[in-house]
Amino acid sequence: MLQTQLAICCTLALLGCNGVIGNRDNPEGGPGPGPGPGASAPVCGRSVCGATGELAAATAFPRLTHAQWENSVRDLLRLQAPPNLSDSFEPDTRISFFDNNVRALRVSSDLWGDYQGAAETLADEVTADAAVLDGLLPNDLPVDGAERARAVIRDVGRRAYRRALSDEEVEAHLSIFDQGTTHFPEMDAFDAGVRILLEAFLQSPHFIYRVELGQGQSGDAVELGDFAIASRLSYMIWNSAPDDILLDEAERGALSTSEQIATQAARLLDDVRGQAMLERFHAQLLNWDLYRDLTKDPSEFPLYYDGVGDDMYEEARRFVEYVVLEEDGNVAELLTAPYTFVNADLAAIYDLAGAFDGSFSQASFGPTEHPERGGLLTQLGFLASHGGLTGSIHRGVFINHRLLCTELPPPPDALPPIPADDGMTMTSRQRIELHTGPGTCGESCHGTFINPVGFAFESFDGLGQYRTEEFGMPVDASASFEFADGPSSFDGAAEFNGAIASRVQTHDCYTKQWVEYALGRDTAGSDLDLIQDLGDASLAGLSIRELIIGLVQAEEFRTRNTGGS
Amino acid sequence: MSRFGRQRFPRRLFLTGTAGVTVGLPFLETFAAKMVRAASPDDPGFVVFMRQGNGCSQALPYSNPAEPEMFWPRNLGTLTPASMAADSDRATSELSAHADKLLLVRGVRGALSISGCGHARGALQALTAQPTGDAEASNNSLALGESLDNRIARELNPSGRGPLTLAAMRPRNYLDSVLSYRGPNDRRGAQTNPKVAFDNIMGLVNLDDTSANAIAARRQSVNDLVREQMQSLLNRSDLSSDDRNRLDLHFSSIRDLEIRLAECSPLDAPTVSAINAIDGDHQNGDRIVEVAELHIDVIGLALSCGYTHAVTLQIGNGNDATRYRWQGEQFPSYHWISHRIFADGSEGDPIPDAQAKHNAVDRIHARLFGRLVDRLSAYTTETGTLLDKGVCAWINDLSNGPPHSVNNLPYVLAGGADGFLRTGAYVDAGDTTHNKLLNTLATAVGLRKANGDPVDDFGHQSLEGGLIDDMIA
Repeated sequence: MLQTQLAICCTLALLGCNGVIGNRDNPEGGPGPGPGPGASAPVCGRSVCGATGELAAATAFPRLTHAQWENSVRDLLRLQAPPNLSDSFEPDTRISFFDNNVRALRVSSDLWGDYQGAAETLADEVTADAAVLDGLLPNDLPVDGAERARAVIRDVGRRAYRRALSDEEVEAHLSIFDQGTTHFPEMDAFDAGVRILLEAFLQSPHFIYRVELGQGQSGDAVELGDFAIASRLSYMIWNSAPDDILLDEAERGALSTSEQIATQAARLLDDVRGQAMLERFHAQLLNWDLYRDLTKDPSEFPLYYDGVGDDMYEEARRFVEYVVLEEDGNVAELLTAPYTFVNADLAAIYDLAGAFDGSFSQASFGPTEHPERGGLLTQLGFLASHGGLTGSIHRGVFINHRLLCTELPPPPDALPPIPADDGMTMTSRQRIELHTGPGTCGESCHGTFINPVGFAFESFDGLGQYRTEEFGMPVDASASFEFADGPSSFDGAAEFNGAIASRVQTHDCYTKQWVEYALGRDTAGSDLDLIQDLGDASLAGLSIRELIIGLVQAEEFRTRNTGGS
Repeated sequence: MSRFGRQRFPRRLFLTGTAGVTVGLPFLETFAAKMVRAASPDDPGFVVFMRQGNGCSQALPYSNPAEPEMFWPRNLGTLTPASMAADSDRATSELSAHADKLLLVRGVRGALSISGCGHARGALQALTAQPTGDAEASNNSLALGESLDNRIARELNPSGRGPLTLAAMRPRNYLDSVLSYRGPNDRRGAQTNPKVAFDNIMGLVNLDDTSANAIAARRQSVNDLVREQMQSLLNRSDLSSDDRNRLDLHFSSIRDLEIRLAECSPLDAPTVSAINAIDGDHQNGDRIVEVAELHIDVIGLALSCGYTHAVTLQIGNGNDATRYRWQGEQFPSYHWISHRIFADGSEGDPIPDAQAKHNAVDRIHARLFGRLVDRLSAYTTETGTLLDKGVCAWINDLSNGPPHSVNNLPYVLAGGADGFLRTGAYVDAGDTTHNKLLNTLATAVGLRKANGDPVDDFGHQSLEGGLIDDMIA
């Protein structure tokens, strides 16, 4: 049986592991400098491969995520905070790193019932509170009953549907407004009309979806139009509906040019909700939720404490925000910046000198004191959430998948465990190499792609503390990795971080993740050209902020391919 | 063909214990037209799938070291409380008190050979008998067809209501909800909060006719407008087929409210109190078993009210990492136990007594299944119990620990589906494929093909059809 398991392992490793990485002179995907032994597929030249070409097909009806629904309700009803009702909705399934992939977002019978119940609850509560009701209605309402209702429908409806309502739509909604007194005879007639109207808005497909039918079609390509652009911008950056400014710009046709879009994108990014996007994107890409679930054995790690995971999350959040917004940095800075943000507890784990307290402050690693640190990947959260004997494997897989876009197959199931080493005669690296390194059946994926990356972080233990020895033996953090454009050798995480920060493979991959997040779908077709263009610019120093603004100006963001009707 | 006929029993359940409570279930009478190919509305069958992950502690004679049998009874044939109790070293002995209600089926393997992550490939085909469109199954892989619970709900439930899909698991896992599919690449998320599931069923409790009619009229008004909007979108000629399907699913979900008054047995006060108390902490990884128990209580309520005819209860996340407690000891991650090492991957230090721990986790699941059997047995009908009218199935994505194979999947059933299925027996299906087991269950609860024949073709079209004769009474 053991032999069988090993045979399966070898087969998977040899056939499945494809570091789809660079040969910039060979964009058609023909043979080029291979990524190393075991990679069986041809390489295309970049970290993101595939047949480039026309715009990828996309749905005209991307459904709001539950988080977007919460924020949209808050903004529609002018509430102080999201209503927090979607916790009881049918949960969305996650099929990519990001929660907004439209393939997973449909309206089932269960979810429809959830929407219905929430709409009824919200309409009831809002119209029962005079202050809240007053807050969501426009000022200077006409006295005449029908005109008064029409004004409400136009104003609230524009926020609900993220576009101006046609006269026909206004009259259809007026009809239901007028039924308010029938359905809620105990209420004031106007309030009753608003209540049934809100129920209808909140259950409408024009609220539940970001309808992107567009304006004008040429072949399969649809120009989205100003209102749909406004929604794409606001849901990407704010995870919510457009504000009045954005809707006003759309209504007067001022979201047509790339410059106009860039201006609005910059405005949204400067808002506190733009900061939240940076957290949302990086938390999902880098799976920061793992930090919050962190548990360690205090007897093994005396500096571990309850709540350390939350602090690690906060450290990462502050770091990203600072690099992007304060430093106007790029992905290279995210991966190498020689500073972080700590409180006293985290500073102790880092062994940082200086005065720290319970609040977070910026701390420098210093080229002489802590040359081993720099960037997101030497922060405690990443290291501690991928620690232990097999930490190097998990760290290596994680970076390959998420930061280098290397296609690795799932691990085979039927493998014997790493041999025990009760006498602690080997370092973790030695045991992993015995099992997966050169000369073993795991050589292809592990030896070529996973282990070299993971071994770069061998100088950090399961809590992320720096170490030079393990069980009294020196730690070896040197390795060589086959990047797209050739191999790179390094000794330790700092050198590795410098290496990936200088490779177009990393910049392509980071850009690919942004494109996938921005468009809410898998990347394909002409996305790949966009990714490579922005990847080149990123490598040349384009900041993350400018990368985002460049992305929303692209045709891929402003148009949609119907995929055939 | 007569063996596929079903005895007719009155729909009404005679409720045990305290006085029943009248529940106004949201209901649309037009579902009756859909029933012509299935059971009568007065003769509901049901199936509850209770899913365990990570395989079971059955024998691995060729592993190194070999692992002995710790799951199945020793002998095929008739099951009695005494025979099962005698096999006390086997996890299934936990169910000895229910021996006469049980049907244990060995010799069933996963119908499809799928490469990649074992948990993903086992789970995505478990109730679908469908492959994935991906070359290698991973946590993002989806099945290419609907699951049996969805099919049953689609044909037997009040119109538009999907199956009851529940899970006891912590959030944010490598694999989350894995069982239920509405259709190709369309996986359904499971409700993890017993309180929400309970409220959904009991939402219209003690509603008087006037109030119910007022709600129905109001919803009708809103639905009319929403339907007009949906229809206007659907009438467009520039929609892709995917968008049309997307809107069709939405459109078909819009239900008008008609109230069918059902008499349900209320859950007792301590249970309701426990359901309320766990609200908000229902995703706590240390309370998985507790949540599962409450889900089971809700399932009993749902079935007794005729709320649904299909239920899935997923215990733990996709590759269940719950740290179960057994006899005062908290185990390492169950996923690690199933690998026999302190790691999620293939390398790590060995876990001492790992198979025994796996067996203990099996027993925890057996006790949960026993609770389900107890709950459904407590509802009595004119002719027996609620359990007798349907079937509960304790299933597993995988067969065993380290290999994570899908050969000899463990199926433990309870309830005869109105006498259709054998009970009190342990049978060997002879290395057949699991789509045939799903066919058998589909037919048992009343599904039929368009021509009235038993359902023998559920799952992927490439699979050999048929039922498992040894399961049929």
